[in-house]
Amino acid sequence: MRVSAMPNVNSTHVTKKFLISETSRRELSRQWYRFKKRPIAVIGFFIVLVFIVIAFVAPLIAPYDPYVTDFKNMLAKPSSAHLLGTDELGRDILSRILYGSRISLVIGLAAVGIAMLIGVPLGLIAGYYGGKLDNLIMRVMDILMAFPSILLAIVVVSILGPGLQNTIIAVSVFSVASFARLARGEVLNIKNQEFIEASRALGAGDGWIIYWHILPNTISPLIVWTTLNVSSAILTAAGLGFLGLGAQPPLPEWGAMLAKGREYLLIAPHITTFTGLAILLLALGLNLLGDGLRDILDPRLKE
Amino acid sequence: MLKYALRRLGWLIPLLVIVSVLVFSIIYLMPGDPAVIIAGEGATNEDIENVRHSLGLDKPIYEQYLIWVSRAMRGDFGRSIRTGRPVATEISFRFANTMRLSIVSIVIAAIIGLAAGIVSATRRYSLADNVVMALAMIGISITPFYLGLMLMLFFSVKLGWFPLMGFTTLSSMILPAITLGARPMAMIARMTRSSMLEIMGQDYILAARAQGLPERLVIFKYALRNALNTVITVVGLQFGSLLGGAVITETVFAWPGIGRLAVESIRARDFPVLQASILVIAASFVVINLIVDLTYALVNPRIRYS
Amino acid sequence: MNDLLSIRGLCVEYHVFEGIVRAVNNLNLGISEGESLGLVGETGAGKTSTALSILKLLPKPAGRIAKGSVIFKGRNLLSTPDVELRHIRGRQISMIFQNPMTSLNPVFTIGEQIAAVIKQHQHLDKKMSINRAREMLELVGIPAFRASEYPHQLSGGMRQRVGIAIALSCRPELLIADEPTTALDVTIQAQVLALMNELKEHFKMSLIMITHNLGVVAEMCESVAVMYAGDIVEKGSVSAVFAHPFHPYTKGLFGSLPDLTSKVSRLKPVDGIMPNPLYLPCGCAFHPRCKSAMPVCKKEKPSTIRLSDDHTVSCFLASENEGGAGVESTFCER
Repeated sequence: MRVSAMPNVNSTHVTKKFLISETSRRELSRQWYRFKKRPIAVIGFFIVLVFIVIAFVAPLIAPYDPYVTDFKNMLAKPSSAHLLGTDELGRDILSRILYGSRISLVIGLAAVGIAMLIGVPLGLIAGYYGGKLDNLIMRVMDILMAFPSILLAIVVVSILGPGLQNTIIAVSVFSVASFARLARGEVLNIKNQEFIEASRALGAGDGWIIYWHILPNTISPLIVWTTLNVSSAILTAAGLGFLGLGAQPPLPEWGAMLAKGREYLLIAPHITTFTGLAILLLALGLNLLGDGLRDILDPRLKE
Repeated sequence: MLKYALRRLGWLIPLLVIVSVLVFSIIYLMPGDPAVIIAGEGATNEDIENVRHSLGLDKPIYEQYLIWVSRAMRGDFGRSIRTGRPVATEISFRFANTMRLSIVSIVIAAIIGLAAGIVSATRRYSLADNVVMALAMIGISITPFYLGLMLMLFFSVKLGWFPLMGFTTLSSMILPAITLGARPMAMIARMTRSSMLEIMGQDYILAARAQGLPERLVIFKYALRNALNTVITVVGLQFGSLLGGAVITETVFAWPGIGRLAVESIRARDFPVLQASILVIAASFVVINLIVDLTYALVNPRIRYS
Repeated sequence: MNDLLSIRGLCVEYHVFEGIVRAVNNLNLGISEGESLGLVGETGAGKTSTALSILKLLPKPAGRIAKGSVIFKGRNLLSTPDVELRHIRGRQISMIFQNPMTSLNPVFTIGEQIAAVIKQHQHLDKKMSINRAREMLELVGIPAFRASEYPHQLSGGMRQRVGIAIALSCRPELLIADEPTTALDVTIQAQVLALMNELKEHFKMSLIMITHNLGVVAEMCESVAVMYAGDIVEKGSVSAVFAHPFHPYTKGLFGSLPDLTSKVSRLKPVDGIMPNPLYLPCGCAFHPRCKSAMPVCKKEKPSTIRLSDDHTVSCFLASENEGGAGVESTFCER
């Protein structure tokens, strides 16, 4: 009897779809319940949502143009005219913070996106095929991880030069290694389970197995990891900005704003205070969301 | 266990070699010709060529690398372009400062983090638990520069409790140590908590209670001992990242540490200092991580005997 | 005469996402000195919950003892504060757990774990505790020199022996064994059971043996109680119940055993499955699966009828003959 791949492929396909629709509704409602039960996660979600919305509509809601200077109003304390005060060139802080959210979110999402696109496939391949290939890829990751993340970012930026694009690249370098490690770990967990063997016995090829079985199982930890990585990417980028190595002025990048505010810390603390608060809130929101997602999606956690 | 240790050590040397090659090549990837910079403004081409020759920059790259490595092994990292002083002295001074700060930070972080994590795990859902977790969340979301500046603003400027400058006295270390230790403290607290929670749901803890052992013994001996493996790993890894990641904190508090030295040398294109400082940071990071891994294997009887 | 341990009206619930799980419903059970009782039932019948309740070890905060009392030597354990309960756990009442892989602490040696219990209850110093621990190991058939080994270095059967050693180290009066051999393979099962029998005789303990295996009950126990959906449906001496099973569920359990002597083409399991403890049926919990169900079974819960000196059953089929009244069902939600 000849066993051809096609009919078997269809049957696993159908089974999977059936299994998904049957259990997913109940699973989703259970997960939604768990999500609601953790008000912290919901708060995180809304904070992130608020920032994303702000990033989109900044031009509409910002009271002033963030680049316009006003030398009659330098370092003004918060007032009704300028809700959060002005900086050393008279620019409105609130507007700069609102516009700055775009920069930070773009850097965070882009850096992590790149890292994921490169890191996850590498990790999947390393874990799945094992052997020499695994060794090689992991050694390379080891090298990347031999440097503390901030230092790595600083080095990359100093090679490539400062600026928004290079910041994105610099921040993503470290994340690539951590995504690869994560993906590889997940693959190793699943690879040896019996349903993979069963699948192979039905005639499924490597690509199929990776795509249909391994990948869906890695999505949960991946979502969590991504959220948390975006948070640390934003913090690292702000760090670079603080050191003057990130997006250059007059772009209203939060880290650079904080560095400038430091010079006037004693006479105009509001610059530093409010900008830093913005960074803190965004990172906090992302971390709360990531934590909440981890609690929900981890099937091993009991109620 | 021995096999495991040997395997890890075996990879250590090649890793360090590759790292040193990368560090060395940084200066060639960076914009800026060292000879030009050293020769200074208004130097003629002849001056520049003289400088290049005297520094050995006209030799082929691999030869330069070998010279650099062989000198480095003997502790000679050349002289700083900026100050003209021997790099090795500067580095050891700065490294010692960073180590001092890092050790104080991690000790504070470990003690408070561990205690907080245990409290949180044993009084789940209580007010203490929520407060600890909230603070921990803030701890991992805050950047050292914001925390540092706010602490400075509040405690040094407004309250005058701690000095703004200086690096020798104990009181000058407090604020930077808290700033540097905030993130590790938060991570340790969270890790301790989740580890303890997982362990306390295990059968052997139920069995221990069924054996009539008092709760204090169950938590601090039976449960904690299992959690320590994970916690120690976290503490160790956090310590490793403190060394290089202290860059920002050192900048905020003008702490004369090695991270700040690295950044300054990048800005000033002071290549010898740059190479040496990054090499030292990376090498110590790798070594600490290795020690952490081996300690974990040692402490966990399962790996020890397998 | 049930003098050692007496459970009255025990109700255990678990509060979960979907609602309230009623694991144990109005359970009455007693055991006297030196008696060995087999507690039989399918998975999910509530056996483990009952056992944990005796020592107030239900998982918090989900598990709650809603009602009932557990009288041990004249004292209600359920109203005893934990501080005092500690003196009873491990010393007067001990427990052995099902999974030997996970019920020993992986980071301490087996000697240390036994010694810790001895030290706690008998207040001996460290050296003496370790010596006693070694004695216990020899007693359960493990060479004393292995006291310095870690659990993962031992096989499943040996780990379970260590569990037994820990449980018996302070000479308890009652031993609760929760499916102690389920996780072991058959040959090891036989050894461990033989060991338990021997020790039971040696120490003159009472034993509650929780199992779903009727063979184990036959070998180890004098009396048996059959549990279904959180309550006991039939109880009595092993000889009485095994010879004349009355309740349809009990009959079904015995009927599903393969008979080596007759030629049978198919096994006869009990039809249907255990009800979802979130939504227990009204009346008798077994009625949806019962072939002899009567109209009254759907509405009321049967009370306990005495069939003979050492045999009781909860079934309307018995009260039909006796003319007893049933009990209003309390959990009807439909």
